[in-house]
Amino acid sequence: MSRSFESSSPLPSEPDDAIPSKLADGLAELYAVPRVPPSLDSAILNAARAHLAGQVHRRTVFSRHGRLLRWAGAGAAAAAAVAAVLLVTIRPHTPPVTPRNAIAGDINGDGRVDILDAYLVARALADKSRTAPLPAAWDVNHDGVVDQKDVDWIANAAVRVGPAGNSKLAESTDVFDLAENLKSIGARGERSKLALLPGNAHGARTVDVATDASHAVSGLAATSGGHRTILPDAAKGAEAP
Amino acid sequence: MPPPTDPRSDAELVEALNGGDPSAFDALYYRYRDRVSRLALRFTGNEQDALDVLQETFAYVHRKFPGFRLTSAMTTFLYPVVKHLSLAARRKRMRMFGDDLALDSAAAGEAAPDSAGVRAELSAVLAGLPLTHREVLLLRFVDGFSLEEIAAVMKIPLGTVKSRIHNALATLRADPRTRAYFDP
Repeated sequence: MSRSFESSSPLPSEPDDAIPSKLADGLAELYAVPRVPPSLDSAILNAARAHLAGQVHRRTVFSRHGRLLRWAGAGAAAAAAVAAVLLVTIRPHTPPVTPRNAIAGDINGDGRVDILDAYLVARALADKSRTAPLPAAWDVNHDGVVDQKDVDWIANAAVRVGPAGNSKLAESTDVFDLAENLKSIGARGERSKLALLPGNAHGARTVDVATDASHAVSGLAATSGGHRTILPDAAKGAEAP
Repeated sequence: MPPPTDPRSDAELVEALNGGDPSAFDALYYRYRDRVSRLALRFTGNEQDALDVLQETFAYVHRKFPGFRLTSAMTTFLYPVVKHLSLAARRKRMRMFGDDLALDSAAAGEAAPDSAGVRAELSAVLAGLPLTHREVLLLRFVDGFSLEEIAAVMKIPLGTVKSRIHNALATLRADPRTRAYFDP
């Protein structure tokens, strides 16, 4: 049996780039390709096509011996389709457009800045299949890029509430729920745990709520519709006293 | 049914996939299906697990799109994926059957080929090779990897690849059980 000469022996003068056909046949027989059933080919290709088509679904694919393989898809295109349906349902005349008026942050051009504007930007940022650049008008903080800071800016502008509880924000199941929760928090005027944070001025409290709202919006935008269980932890916040 | 051989290169297929062309995935799949399944069988030692690894490997691949950038050969990209999934499958199977010794072997690399079947002597001599020598030999002459691809996936110098192949073949040539394979 040969020793290992790796570290001390010179390189072979000729590379061993071919082997006798008998040995090649022996290796091929010993390491044969397993037979792949056509049904497995189809399952693999269908799963890929579904993903590439951007479908948001849960598909169960049966392996060769009935073992379940679960596929969780959170395709951005399908999530955007869900959001688009919701947007049309609630605001049929305000598709996402570059704002034509002078209101910075009014992404959908409805004349006001609210959490739906933040959501539209967050949704676009989360859409990894997007190739077209985002409108320059969405760069509301004028730093040269459209990014999460613009979502934060819009969320901050959208949240004009006084002392308010933020626990409801984490319970928002979609962006419209979030918008309603923000309104209800303001209307009830609840004392917020934020108010108990040391050194917080009124402005700081507003930013905290806006931060939570922004986080909630981004979390919803990154998913297939904003289910409660997948909101980011940052948005769950503290319980109102 | 496999489609006719696609003339596009791997890079062109990746670009087409990023552009949303599902036929490009079909082409990639059939191009690498046998190689992946054979590699998976070698690592898992079990046909059922190998086919599951095949499925999981290509699921991993399609989830990379759109936006995937092929920065190396497709074989270099696929190899660690297949190996990782295969070893995980083997460990799971070994845990289920409580075979601790085999679990250690699974962690070390490939499963032993069927030593009781055909080509028993060849199998036995191969099993006696150092793991790294055997892997390089099989990557070259069973899986068809180029020397450069082997160097890339094993993260070793090209010279080491050549040296290991040379030493593995020298062992096979010298062993009386496998000397006949080298007879003209």
